Amino acid sequence: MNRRNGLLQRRASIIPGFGLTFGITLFALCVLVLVPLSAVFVKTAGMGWQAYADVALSSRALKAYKLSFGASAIAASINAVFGLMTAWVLVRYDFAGKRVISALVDLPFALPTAVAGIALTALYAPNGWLGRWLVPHGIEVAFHPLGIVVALTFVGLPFVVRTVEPVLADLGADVEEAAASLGASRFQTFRRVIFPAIAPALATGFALAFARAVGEYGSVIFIAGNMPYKSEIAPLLIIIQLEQFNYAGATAIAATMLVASFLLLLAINLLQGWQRRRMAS
Amino acid sequence: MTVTATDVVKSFGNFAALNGVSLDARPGEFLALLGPSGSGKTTLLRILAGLDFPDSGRIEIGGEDMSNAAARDRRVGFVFQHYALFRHMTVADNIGFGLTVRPRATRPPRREIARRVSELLDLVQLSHIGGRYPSQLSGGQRQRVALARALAVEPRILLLDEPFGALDAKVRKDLRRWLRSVHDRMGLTSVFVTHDQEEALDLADRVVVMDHGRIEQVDTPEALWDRPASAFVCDFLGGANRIACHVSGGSVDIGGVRLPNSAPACGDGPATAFVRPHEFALAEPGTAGVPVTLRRILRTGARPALETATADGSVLEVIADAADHLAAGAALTLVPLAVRAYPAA
Amino acid sequence: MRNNATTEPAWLRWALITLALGFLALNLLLPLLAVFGEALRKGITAYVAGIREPDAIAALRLTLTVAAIAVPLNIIIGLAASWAIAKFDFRWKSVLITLIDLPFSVSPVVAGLIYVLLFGLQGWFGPWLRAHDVQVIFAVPGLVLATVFVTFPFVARELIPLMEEQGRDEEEAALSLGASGLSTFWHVTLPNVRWGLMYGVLLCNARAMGEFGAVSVVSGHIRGKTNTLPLHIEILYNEYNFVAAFAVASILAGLALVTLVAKSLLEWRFAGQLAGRGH
Repeated sequence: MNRRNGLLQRRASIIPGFGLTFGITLFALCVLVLVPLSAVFVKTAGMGWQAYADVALSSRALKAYKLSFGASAIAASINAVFGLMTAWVLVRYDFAGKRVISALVDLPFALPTAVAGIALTALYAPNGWLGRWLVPHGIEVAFHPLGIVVALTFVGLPFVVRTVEPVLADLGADVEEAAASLGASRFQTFRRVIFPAIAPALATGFALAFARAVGEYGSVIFIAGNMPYKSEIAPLLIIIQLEQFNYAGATAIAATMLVASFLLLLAINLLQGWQRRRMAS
Repeated sequence: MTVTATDVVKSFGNFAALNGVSLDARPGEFLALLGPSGSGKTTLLRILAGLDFPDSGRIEIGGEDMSNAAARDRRVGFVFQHYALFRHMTVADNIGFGLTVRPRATRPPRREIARRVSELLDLVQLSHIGGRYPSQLSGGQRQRVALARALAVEPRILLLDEPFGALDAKVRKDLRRWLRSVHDRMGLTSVFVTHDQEEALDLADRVVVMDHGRIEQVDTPEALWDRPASAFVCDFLGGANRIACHVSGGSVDIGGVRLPNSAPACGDGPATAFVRPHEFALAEPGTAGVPVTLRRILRTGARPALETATADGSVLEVIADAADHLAAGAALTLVPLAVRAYPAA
Repeated sequence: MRNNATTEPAWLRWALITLALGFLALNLLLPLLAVFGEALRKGITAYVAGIREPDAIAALRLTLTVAAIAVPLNIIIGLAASWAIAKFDFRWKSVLITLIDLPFSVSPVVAGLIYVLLFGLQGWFGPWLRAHDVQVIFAVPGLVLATVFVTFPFVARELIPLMEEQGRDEEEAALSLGASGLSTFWHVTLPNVRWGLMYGVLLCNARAMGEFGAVSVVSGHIRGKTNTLPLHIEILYNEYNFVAAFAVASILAGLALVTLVAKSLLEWRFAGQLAGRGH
């Protein structure tokens, strides 16, 4: 019974409940996710190019996108480096307290962003535990763009660690032994054998951390300082437009960010496909 | 290149993998390490390669002490059981890897590397697929790539861990002969690990039989077959029937038949005799020998195989000249013609 | 078994461990300690006062209410989605999976905004809702909707790979033995995925209780009425009432720690019964 129209089963199954569960899923998806999201585009399409560009492509908005994407890219890069290192250390080495450390890595998934935001701000404020050492040396973190990077680094770390970790653990010891017996140094083995094998996972982790950082709000607004043209991230602009009851303006910026998110999602899917192909033996 | 291991001891935690193993491989020799799993054969191979290090003992390659040398400094070709090909590199890049990671001073120029790789691709008969990735190859092809990769660094010795373990029976046999011919052509010293006695006897110049971290016997296939040094070796080589017997004054008594012992000295007393299926004569019930009942006649080879059972139910296999006059259920006596007896375990 | 051929010299090992742990200490541990440090800065009395303030308790109640509605909704959606996706073959399956994951890549602020566009006064359904005196935005329904959106993928994501891994044999066996569909689900499928479900619920709940951006947009920020705990923290913080802000934050940090411990226990005890450790 291979019916051909649309989203139907390819193959008959004796397991019941397809209609019901598929129906619930599709209904929930449409009502909660797709229809609301489409509202953004419908409203944006209705406002005309000029009205859209006035808000979404204003110099203040462009500055904010640049800051959001720039800070996210820096934070994701830091996370790529330290996330890889963390994953490596957790997979390869034994040391006291490893289990606790491994659990701690997921803290950003569990700790509410607002809590992270005020905690980081307290740490880096001029009178904070870290700020009192950094500020006298001219390193200002809180209420400066650097603070945004710090907050985005906090939220993104587990994405890299948790994406790279299983791939690193699955990497057979025998390929490394093969490289060694062929005369490769440990560094050559890493660069030529291990790194290419985990590169797709690392890229995926980077993209996930980046995507999360671009949309992040709670952890950033406390530490950013939120100065227009200087330390104002894109999601904050939406809030500002909303506070001025400028729903059209908020929607225009949201539409722009959604397009960026969809492109990122597409990139992540492509990266994951790459990873699956590379892991195929 | 000679390879010598002297008094090698290695344990993993409480498990003693090698209990003082000494071994030497002569230049150009093809040596098999044969034994059941856990016998220490793979550990010994890995120690030779520098992938593991012995707790004590000495490894020499070409007369040079290599006991503490790192794997990368040993110039040893190692073929892994599951090939360990680099998945993200083409076949040609896999083969050339060992050359490209050499220090700049000794690294051949790019063109020279390409030439070596294409030579090796020819050698392993894969010239047409140098651009493919390992995932696109069959098991036998991967195996040959792994071999070519190991040979590319011009190793002094070649070590192979269960080289045919992951292949199906047909491919296995073809590759076996081919590997032997490559070995002969290259004039290398090769050591390979296997748990398949047929493979070891078929391929190797000499076979090292191992059990529980010890070497039981080192001999040519012929000598091993004719004069197994221990019950374990005799049993592991397979195919022999075990019969309880009694040894006195150097001769073996099985059910009243007295025979000289073909095995090395075995003290007087109860012993286990090993009799191969073709080393029996059939006789009428009542004659001296082992009384049995015929269960089945199997016609799998040129001569019929008889499955017989003694009174206590243990099964003895016999190759007979003819079985036309026999029928299942018949009572027979097996008269052993040659016997190897070892002290009863 | 790692050995000399496949590991690094000891100095490099320790250097890497030190660097990684140093980074984690600076980036993760220190902020966590700062929460408790700041909360207790003026002593235990100030701390307790911050927590026991009526508005804080109202915020806690609201947070629990929202999570108590959003999490079960998520369980139903997650179970339905994973059953449909893992137990059947159908067209566009990978598109459906991508769509389920979609909320992960949407900024929480946008997640809040979309419901304002639908149910706000100027929204598509705004006039109708107003005519019938139903308030969604700036009220509990809006908070629940925004929370369900941001947590949408959590349960499904944990269950889909797990159910796919487990295949259909057991369900088919149960059905062929005469079990009904519902009892097959209840007695065969659910026990097989219970730890995975728990894992997903744990993460879903942590996010539901901690969500800030999305609920910030749909909440009216009315003290004691439409403020969840994270929003209450923001208000206290912006009023420079730091001790109270951190005291309330320490409740959520404690919740995060409990989540981490429970999650680690699940990973440790039931590693084989969890799948696709993705987040």
